[in-house]
Amino acid sequence: MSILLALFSIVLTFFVVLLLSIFFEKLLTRMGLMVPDAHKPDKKMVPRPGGPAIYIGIIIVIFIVVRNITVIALVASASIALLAGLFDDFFRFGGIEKPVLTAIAAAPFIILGTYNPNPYVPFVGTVTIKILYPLLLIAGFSIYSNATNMLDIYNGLLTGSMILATVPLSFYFYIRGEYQILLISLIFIAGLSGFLVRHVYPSKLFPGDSGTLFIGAFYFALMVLGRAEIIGVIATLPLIFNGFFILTSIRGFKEHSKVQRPVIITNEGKILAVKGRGVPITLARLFASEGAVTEKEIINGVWLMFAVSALLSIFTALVFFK
Amino acid sequence: MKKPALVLIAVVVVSWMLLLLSFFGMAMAFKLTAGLHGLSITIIRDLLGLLLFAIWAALFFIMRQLAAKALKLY
Repeated sequence: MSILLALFSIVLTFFVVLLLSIFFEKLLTRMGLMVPDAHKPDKKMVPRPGGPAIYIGIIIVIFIVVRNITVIALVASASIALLAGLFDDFFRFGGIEKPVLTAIAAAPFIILGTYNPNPYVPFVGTVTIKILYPLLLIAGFSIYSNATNMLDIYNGLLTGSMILATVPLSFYFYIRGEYQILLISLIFIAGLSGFLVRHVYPSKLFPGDSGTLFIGAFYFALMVLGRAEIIGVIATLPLIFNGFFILTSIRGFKEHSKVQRPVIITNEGKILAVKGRGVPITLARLFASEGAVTEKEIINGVWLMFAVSALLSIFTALVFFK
Repeated sequence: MKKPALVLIAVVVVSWMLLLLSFFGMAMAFKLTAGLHGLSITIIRDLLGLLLFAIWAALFFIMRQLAAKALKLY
């Protein structure tokens, strides 16, 4: 494929997702499918879910420009995650159903055999983990989808963070000469950027669980397809921390309504951490621990963490993987 | 830069260093089992991978406690 066509497909994805986002915004508003923006003093209503806009835009372009079996596995896995998210958007799952359903997203990879159980590990080299790898796929899809879902709390936070986390993957695919998966990762970044235009603070559209679970599953699928497991883990350290901190502080998967809110909104519309044990430890709560902060300050803080992780990931790729 | 941002960035950097250290440990363990062959060694190597995950979980838990303590969450 020529560079020009690749560039065209990346730009096309950006605009397709942006236009679809605007379309979904209007459609969902007309249908009355809106939720309050919980961290705004006026609790403004925002349409949701915008996940299908990201999904349709990215998947259409990928199907047009890349046609092989790995793409079928990628699209099938991402579709399962999207469907699980859509179901959650409209019917609400309990604490355990979401992780179980998103684990099914590993099935296309396992059935089609589109994975390589030989991840490259710094200092060690190529490691063969034939027995463990399919199990890691099942756990990985569930962990990444749900950790991504847990991060989607503030306007634009998730999409911006995942763009930053995908940059090291693209860089890694580039230095390894894996141009097809590089193109898919750049299309993913372009799609997320198109959505970010409407999702950024103050949000005009929320991705919903369909969007977050799709993004998480797609990201993990990229890691698997491009054998970038370690690079991906380093690039998403803040995502993993947020999910891990929450689950260990509330001791397992619990329904939203049964979990204490980690932050409160002050009369000035700022965010303040709730002190005490048993309250979920989230990145937002940690950022708001020293006094009330604005939503934008939290978003910028988490983005800074992702930027540092991305730099460390790129550094790791340069030192150990080149 | 505010204290929470500094603490959380430090958590990311220290975790990255400890991750690399855990890979170094894994490399040493593989070196020790380098001369062995067969099904049992395949299983042992897979178990080493599981051990690595257990180390990561412990590491992330320690990071959580340190961050919560430094930012006086309790």
